[in-house]
Amino acid sequence: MTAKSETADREDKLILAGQEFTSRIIIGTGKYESGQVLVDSCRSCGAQIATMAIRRVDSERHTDEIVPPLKDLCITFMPNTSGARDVREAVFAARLAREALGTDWVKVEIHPDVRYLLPDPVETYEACKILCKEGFKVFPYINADPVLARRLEELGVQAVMPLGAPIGSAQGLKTRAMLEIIISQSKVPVIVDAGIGAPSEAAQAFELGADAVMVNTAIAAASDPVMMSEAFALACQAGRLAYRAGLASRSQSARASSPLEAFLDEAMQ
Amino acid sequence: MEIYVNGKARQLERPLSLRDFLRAEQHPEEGCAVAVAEQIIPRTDWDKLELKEGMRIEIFTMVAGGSR
Repeated sequence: MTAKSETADREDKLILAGQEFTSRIIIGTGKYESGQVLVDSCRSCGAQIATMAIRRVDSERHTDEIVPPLKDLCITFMPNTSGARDVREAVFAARLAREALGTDWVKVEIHPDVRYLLPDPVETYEACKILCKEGFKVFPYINADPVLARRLEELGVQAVMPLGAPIGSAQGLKTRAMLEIIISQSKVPVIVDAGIGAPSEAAQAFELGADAVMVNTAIAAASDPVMMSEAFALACQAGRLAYRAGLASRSQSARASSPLEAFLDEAMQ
Repeated sequence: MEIYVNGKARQLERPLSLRDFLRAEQHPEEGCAVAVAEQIIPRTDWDKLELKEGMRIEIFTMVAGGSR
């Protein structure tokens, strides 16, 4: 990267709930083979935000502790309500996470259908209403529905997190047209969440004008997660720079890049 | 004395506060939340809450993931 774009990059901050971030990748922490690989992957892409779930302790199953190592990396925690099937469970999960982590940030995820894990818009809206009133900084995971995004914005959510495709499906930005409408209308940051399977798809999200992306499976399930994490960081940077630089408009017909006709005319004389 | 932790019966030899119990279990306090009858017990009350016969406590912890 040139010195000039590095300077521009430093000035280009993501602001979520009043906090400034230089990284625009939010890391989902599931599916990593160990806590160490997760930490190394976060470091590799320079992530400053990570999301995680809250569960009942299972004394018979060992799970790596993830809070202390991520805290050491100065990661901002965005606990999620995954596993919640309705408003009541989501609100309870949010309150538990606030107590567990001492943060008022919460990513509201309510997906009762386990096959597609698509977010339930009605339950999500109602949960966001309660949590916003309770002073939470709310980040709802939603289908790419521009009307719902606006309604949530009116409630006072801090950002919207529309999906590109079903969770973990690595299908890319299947909802592209709707994402474009959400981005064009939104007054709060838009975080493209779920479905991003390759760095090029993260770059596409930024070229559309997304403020951030959320990535989990694409990194965690790669053969080399740490290297893939770096690939995502580079792609996000490229996509964001391209968006800020302003992409040239598309055209059905060719546009010559040099005045060919004039050259030929002169040669024939 | 018998209490229930996440649905499983546990015997306690002596009365304990919630915090003492968590320490005895070597349960990390960071990233942990506790509820009794769906009421979340604030961390600041962990010393005050004495575990009583038949009490059902639920211990939660932050874990990797979500569903992505």
